[in-house]
Amino acid sequence: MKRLLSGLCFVLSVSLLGAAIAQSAPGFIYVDEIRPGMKGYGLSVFRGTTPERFDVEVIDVLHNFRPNQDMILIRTPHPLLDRARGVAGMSGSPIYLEGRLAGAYAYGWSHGTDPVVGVTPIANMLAELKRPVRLDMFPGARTFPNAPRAESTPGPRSRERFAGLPPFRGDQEVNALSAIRALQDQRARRQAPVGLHRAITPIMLGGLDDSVAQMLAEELAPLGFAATQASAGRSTASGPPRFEPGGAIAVELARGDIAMTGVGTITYVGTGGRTLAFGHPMMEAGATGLPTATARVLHVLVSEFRSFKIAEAAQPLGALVQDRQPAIVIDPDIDAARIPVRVKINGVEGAPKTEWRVEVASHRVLTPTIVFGVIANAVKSTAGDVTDVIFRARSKVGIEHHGIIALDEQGFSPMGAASPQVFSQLRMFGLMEAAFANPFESSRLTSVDLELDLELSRDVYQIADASVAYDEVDPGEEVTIYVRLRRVDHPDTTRAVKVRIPRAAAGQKVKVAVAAGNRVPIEQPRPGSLADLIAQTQRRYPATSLVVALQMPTRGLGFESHVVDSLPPSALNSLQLVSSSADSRPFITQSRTEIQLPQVVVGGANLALRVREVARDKLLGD
Amino acid sequence: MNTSETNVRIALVGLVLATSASAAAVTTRSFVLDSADAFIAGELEGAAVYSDGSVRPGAVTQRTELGNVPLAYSVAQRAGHTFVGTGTNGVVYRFDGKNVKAFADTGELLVASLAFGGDGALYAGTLPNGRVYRIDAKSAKMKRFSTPQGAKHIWALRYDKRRGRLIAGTGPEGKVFAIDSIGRAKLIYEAGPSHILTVAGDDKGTVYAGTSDDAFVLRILPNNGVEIVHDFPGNEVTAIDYHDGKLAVAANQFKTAPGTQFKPPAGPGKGGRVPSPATRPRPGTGQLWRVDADGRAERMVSRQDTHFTAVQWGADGAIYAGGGHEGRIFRVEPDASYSIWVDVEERQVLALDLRAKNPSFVTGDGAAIYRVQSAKRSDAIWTSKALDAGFASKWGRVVWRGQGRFVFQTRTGNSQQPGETWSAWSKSLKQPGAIASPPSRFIQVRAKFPKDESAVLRAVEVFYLPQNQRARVTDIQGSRPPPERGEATRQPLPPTTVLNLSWKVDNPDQDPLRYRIAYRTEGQPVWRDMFREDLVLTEAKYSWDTGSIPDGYYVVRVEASDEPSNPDNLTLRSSATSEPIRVDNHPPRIERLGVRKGRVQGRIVDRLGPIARIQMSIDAGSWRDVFPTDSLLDSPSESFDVPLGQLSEGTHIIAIRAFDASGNQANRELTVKTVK
Repeated sequence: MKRLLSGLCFVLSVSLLGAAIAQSAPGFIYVDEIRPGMKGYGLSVFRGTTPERFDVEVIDVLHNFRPNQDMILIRTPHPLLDRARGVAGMSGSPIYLEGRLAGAYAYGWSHGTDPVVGVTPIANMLAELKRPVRLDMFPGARTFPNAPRAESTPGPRSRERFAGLPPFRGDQEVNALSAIRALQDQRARRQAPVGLHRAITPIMLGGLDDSVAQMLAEELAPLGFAATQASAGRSTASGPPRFEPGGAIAVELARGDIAMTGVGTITYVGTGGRTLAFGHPMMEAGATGLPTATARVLHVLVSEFRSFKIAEAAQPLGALVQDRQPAIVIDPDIDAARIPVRVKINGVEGAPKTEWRVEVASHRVLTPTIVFGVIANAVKSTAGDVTDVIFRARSKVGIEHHGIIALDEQGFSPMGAASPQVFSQLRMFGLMEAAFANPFESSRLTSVDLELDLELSRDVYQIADASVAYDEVDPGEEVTIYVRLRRVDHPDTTRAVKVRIPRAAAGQKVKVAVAAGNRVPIEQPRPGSLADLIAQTQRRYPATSLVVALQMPTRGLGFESHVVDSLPPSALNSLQLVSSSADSRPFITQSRTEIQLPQVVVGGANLALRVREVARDKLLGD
Repeated sequence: MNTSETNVRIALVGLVLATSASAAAVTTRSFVLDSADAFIAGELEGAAVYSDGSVRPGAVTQRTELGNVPLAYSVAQRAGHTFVGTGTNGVVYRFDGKNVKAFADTGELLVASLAFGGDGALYAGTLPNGRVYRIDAKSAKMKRFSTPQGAKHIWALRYDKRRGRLIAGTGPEGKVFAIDSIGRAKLIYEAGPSHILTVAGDDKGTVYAGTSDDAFVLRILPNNGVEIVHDFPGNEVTAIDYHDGKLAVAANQFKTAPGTQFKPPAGPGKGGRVPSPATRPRPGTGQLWRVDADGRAERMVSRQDTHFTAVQWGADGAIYAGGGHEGRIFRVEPDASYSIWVDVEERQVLALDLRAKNPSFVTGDGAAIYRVQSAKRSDAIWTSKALDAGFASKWGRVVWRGQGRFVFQTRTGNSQQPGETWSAWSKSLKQPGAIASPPSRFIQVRAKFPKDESAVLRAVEVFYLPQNQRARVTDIQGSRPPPERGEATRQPLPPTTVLNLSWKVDNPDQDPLRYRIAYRTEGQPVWRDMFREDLVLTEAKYSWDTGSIPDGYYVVRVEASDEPSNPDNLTLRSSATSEPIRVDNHPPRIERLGVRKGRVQGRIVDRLGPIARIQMSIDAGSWRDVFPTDSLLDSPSESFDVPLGQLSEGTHIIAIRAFDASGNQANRELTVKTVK
């Protein structure tokens, strides 16, 4: 009753237009009642927070435009829309015919010259309200204080955190953009209707360097976002405290020193405040938990290429809980998880700002992308120099039930710190992927903290070359590999590394690889838990080591929790199991020698040695 | 299925015809199984196949599965309990004859070796961390006992009673360690090869060690001096056993595996599946040797289809060896004859403990412990593989040769793998007799051994009559004989009345065939035999002289009959007809030939046509082509009208010749006189 009164007070407080909306709300008009020539109106915010009315006229109905979904074609005669035609950010604007809600403004046509758009029928959208929503589907989410929400019993462990991609088992190297690229690939394989496109979701980027904004825009575009630079928003931004049909809604992917906000329009507010918007998916991610807010529209930018609303988030409210084909669903009582991210840049004198704090939405694909954007932005703003840079990255990644995982990495970039590739490879992104997508336990990322020490210098060890005294060696012989290291402003130094040529390599060629430690993959056991995945991320050679690897003629196998190398043939045969699906992955055994150096090592060299069939001393009758 | 692969001989009996070709005809055939390979191709349940090609009762075994464990790799026995070292979770199991339970969990990948120490404790050698664990055999209390330096794999453990120490064979640095009672490991030998896979010894402190990747057996003397006992062929001595002054040695050869690089797989979205092993394990080849006290090494067995994983002297003086393929144990007699003593379902037999109070062995790729109940069993069964008759067949008798009251059964079906669609096993045959199973393509035979340890099955023969298969004639062709060597192929073919007929025949059962040929004019209903009945044509070709028949288009029918190898009531015939074949043995006619107003004119007419070429020669000069008036040689009648050209005054001979499409040639000439 309290809730009902509250809602009633809100209705009374809004304008006459609002009253009209309230009158029409109980009624829906369904597709089979819609006829060409019908007239009505739509609601959307063109400036500020108050929805405005625009006229619509039905052209016709496209039947089965999507599986089990029709589309209503309408014309929107309006001084602004005549020029703007389809407007990104208007997606979800409710369309009323004969005073009843028909659906949501949702689709436009590429290069269309008429203000003709497609409307997603309300029946399809309403069906999405019936999907179950449980708090445990969104790791880290809470209910807002005083939200009168009766939680359902927990269901099976959520797989929504996988974001439609395969789980991560640690059998691949990941970087900051691995997940979003995988999702892009997946989307690229889907065929879009020719010529028709859903009204793009505009995403406002604030507080970002141009190049970083461009990078993020390019990454997000294949997922249906049209990024544009706007403001980072204000913490005190005023706006409506509730969602209302025709009002603007923001999906807050990041807020703080930088902001990333998806913008659309509310279509319908249902019983209990459960809200429909967009009239199309945002990413079609299914059940997901992204923070939402009411929004304030600053301007509708009319463009020949693509018109869109410029807006900013206002009052945090609810969470996007279902991202489905006909609509997104917002639950106003759920407070979706936001991950605190801090990036601190050290070692750059005179930098005006060295610390960035951002709260990022919790999502397997979006979070690492945005965190990478935050890092790239911080570095670009602080040390955008295109020059040699040595860095040390000390990251602390919070994973639920596993505490704070610390990583310490070093590296070198001849293209400067702001080169995108440099920090996308940080191992903390592997931890983030493990937290979101491990198949072993429900877990989540709780925090990201990165201290980045930059040194604009080229004081590294460059592997100049590697050599041996002779390239034909005896089986069993100890061979010295000479590695010449080059360091700016220093004379070359040579390191001698002894390797034992295996007897089993008699008559074969053996390869010797010299590389920086952080470039050498280590054979890992197959992880059987999230703890294994975390440990695997930490188990690497440092960038300040020089590794000389001799490829052996024997094989090894990787099992869950174990790696065994240098197996004799009979044991290799027995351990490669035919009767078990437990996979054992054969690899070539490598004998590695690690040398610690005081500086980061870069480069690499390879050698091939021919091993005699018989040792010379034996040939000579020793 | 290729029966030749399994050494199943197909014999021909019954109808013996005059020629060897006839002998290959569809007639009574039989599968003869009388070799070791033929018997081994089947299934053995308590039966043993001997190298002399006999099957006898084998060992009685009791199988106990080790649950969800992929492989049992090592075994040791004490006080009625059998302890089994397993992988891939490094658990030691204890088996009391009835129940098996996890006894100690080392947390390692594999317990590769087990040995009891002088203190009664069980010692477990493991990999991949090269640790030896001490396990109290009663309480299962376990502690890490020793970690020999440089060892990643503890392949072999043996307790040296004389010195009260454990001997450990290790890899991958080929070291032999002596481990004292408090776990201190002392290096007593470092081999050239990479692994010491097996150790054995005598009561005097001598240690024998087998190596990989050179197939040596080393003798490490009590004073730590080392000798090479023998350098065996191959690249691995996988197992040795020392007993009564003799060594049994399993020496294997493995091909070098192709490189399988460790590569981080592609990123997410590529399926995220764990990659499969690049190759499934292929067995190596193996040899079993005995080395006598005087150092003489003698090869006892050589197998190309398997390597050997374990070897042990039996109390009966035989050598027993576990196989790395098809889960078999070989039993080798002192005279080097051998048998497949046990055939289990698992892929590999990995460790033997046959001299113990409760003889046992363990298996890999399906971990199980087997206890051998007695030397031989009385309810052994040998089942043949599915024998392929090639075609649906009527089964005759099954006969066998051997000693003892065997009971035979058969079952049949039409799929290579016996299954639900096959018939049930037939009623038992206690004497050789008719097979009761329904006609089919495949048959299996099984022999139940009598309760008689001396029973021997030496040969089994299954008679059958394949269903006769109809031969099919296709693709009948008629062509003129090829030109003689040197004959210009661009010229019209020389006239001949011979037409070479040929055809193809699909003869599934390879019966000898006889062909009959008939022909008729296109459009006529009556067939005429091409030759008399007393001519027996067995080749798929015939030279047909068409000189006696009118020109025209003829259809030829070829009938194939398998009557040479089948009685009348079983003979099958089939025939096929050709497309119309042109027969044209008559030359065209040259008509109305004459010279008018300096032009040579005439007409060429052929019955079948078309006219292929017209040529003219003047005064025996070279022939030159003459074009018909319509320029096209496309009909049986062509007129020509060509200028004679400038001729000197006097008499000239104009010769015209014409060819039809069959190469038949007509000539005419005329004499003209020119005046000025």
